[in-house]
Amino acid sequence: MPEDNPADEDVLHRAAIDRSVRLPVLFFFTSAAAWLAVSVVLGFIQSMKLHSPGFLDFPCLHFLQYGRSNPAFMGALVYGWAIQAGLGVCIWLMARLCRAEIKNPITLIVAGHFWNIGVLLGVLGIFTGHSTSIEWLAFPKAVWPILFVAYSLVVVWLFTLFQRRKPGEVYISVLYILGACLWFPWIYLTANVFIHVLPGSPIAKAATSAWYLGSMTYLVLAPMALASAYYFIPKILGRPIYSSYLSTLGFWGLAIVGGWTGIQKFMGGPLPAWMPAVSGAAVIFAIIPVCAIAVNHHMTLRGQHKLIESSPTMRFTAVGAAAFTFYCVFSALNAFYPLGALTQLSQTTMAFQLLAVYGFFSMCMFGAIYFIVPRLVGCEWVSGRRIRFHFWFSTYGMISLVAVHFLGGLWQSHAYAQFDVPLENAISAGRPYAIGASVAWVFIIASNVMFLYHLSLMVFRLGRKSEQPAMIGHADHTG
Amino acid sequence: MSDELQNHDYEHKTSVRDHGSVRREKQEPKTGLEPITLSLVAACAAALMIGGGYLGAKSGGFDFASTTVNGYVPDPPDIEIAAAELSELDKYLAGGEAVYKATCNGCHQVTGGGQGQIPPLVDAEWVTEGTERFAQIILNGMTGPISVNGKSFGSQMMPPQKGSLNDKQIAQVMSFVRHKFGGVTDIVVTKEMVAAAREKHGAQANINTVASLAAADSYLPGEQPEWLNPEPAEDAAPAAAEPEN
Repeated sequence: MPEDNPADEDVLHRAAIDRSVRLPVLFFFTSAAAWLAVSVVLGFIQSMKLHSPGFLDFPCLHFLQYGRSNPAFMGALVYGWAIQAGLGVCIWLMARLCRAEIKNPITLIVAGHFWNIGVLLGVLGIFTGHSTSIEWLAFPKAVWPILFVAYSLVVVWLFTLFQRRKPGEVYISVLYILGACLWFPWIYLTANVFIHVLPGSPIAKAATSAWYLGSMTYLVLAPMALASAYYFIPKILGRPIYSSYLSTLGFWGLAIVGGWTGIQKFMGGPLPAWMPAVSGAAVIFAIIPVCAIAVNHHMTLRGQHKLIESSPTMRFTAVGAAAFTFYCVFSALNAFYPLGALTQLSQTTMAFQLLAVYGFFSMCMFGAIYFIVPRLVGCEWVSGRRIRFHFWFSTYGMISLVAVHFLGGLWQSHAYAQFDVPLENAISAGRPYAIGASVAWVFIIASNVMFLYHLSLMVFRLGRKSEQPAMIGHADHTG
Repeated sequence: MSDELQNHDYEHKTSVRDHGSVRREKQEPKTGLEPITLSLVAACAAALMIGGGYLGAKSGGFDFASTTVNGYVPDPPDIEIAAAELSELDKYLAGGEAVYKATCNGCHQVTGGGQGQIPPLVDAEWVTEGTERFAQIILNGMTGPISVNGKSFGSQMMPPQKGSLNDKQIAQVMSFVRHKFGGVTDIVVTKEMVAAAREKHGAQANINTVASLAAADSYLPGEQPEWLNPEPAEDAAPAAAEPEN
């Protein structure tokens, strides 16, 4: 094999680190994948309910109405799947990059249990009609302290890992993880306090909610996924990341502008004009770190693009990173009124959220999981075909879902803007696209059920006992 | 391959051989030190310029009271109101309304209801019946006593208007008053009719009394104009109410 032959101590040290984080990371991954399966089924149901309210309309299933299944779906996707998968990846990356074994992993598992209890209470609360009806914060008010404490516990453990790091360069992924560690509690606490505990005017609550969505995307989901991309791209290529200057520019750029984003959603609304203006400018400024990150990844890959084909991790990460660039560029274009007016109040919101959470974040997480899990359980993924299935169904499902919601939303907003025709026209204008979205959801469900099944095989040690990794192309390399 | 990589270090609980995936992976990533390219710097500068311009244009001077800024709130699109084209009749009556506002409504009021000793025009037989005596009153004025709608009026005098209004103005105002206050919507008074009245009565020096007026069934001679709908009953009724607005 063409690889350099690392010193045995090194290998054993890495293996020891992997062993120390095995339980918490696998716990986070499996519960995240289970929540993902729940959320994509709910996603399908809420999509069906949008255009055919009679779907599954039995008295015993009354709680699946759109008004409950939609927030339950988003809650399960963001808190059940995304953040848990992100935490699992962050724990593993942090331990690897600090070259430190984790102590007391049981605390992390306890935190993980609390997190899952919180999400479960939240989703059940929504189903029993106790939703707060605020986007991404729809869980009943009693739930957020549980999630906050559980996350903070993980943060403390990640910081102790960082404290015990081996001397040497602090790799860029570590910065991103530390960022996500600090920013989530700040954003989550602020949003909940100003919306649930000390609510101001309804307009201020709406602005806080929009800010929360923007900041969650730019300051929590993005850093977690970028930490993973920054690790796995050079790792699998076996060459250094292109430029430390670009890494620094990308990180600090995102750190500076990320917390200002979100409120551009309400441009033209009854807010002081500078609030949406500042957010709009922030998403335009965000192009700078996004360019830096994209160029950095691309230049690291130079000449080796065929690796994307054969390595599952590279493939998922590449799609995720591309979706990130796409998301940020589109958000910047959206800050301008001619496009923003067409995307403010329609299905396009769903397109953007899915592009961020599924297209960008989840794809990066899938890539990381395909790399990490074999090292934790000591066996290889059962088959490359299943990974390919997961990849293509996810990619095509996500692209068609985003495209359908985006175009449908444009059409719908255009109909909303017709002052002299009935509102019903706008709603029926979105209908064919909502049906298309339901079809795309079937793809997403198929792909993620396969993923959950495949991951379960690995967790129960039913993977291949082999020296050869599961590849999805024909190249010979590691990954 | 597996033979030559076999680890014989029995002091470790696990050997390298047990960690196939860990062993075959590459070194932990490091960071290169390539410089930032000029084109990227230029792209960043462009993004800064655009974002700064955006902020300047949209922020409304960071004034908390300023909630709308040009470019945010769209102008409503040009809504096609079916702006009914004014008919010739409407234009004619609008001219009469203008004369009425300038000359008559100081005494007879906008509503045509009169005030005090000034008699009303609404449904008055002097308006709805013969046009000759109506024209006489306008041309040469009127003084009481006179009975209008069953009530007696007498102490006020209406001045002659023949010097201040021309034939067309008198014709229009008569048509307007008959349409609006008298409910006579199927015919109008033309300037030819008024010219005939002026020819007949224009030299009269005295102000009219009831005795000097023509009979109630005496209409001024003349044709109805060509533009008047031969069956105007349906169209003219709403049209008659519109000039108010």
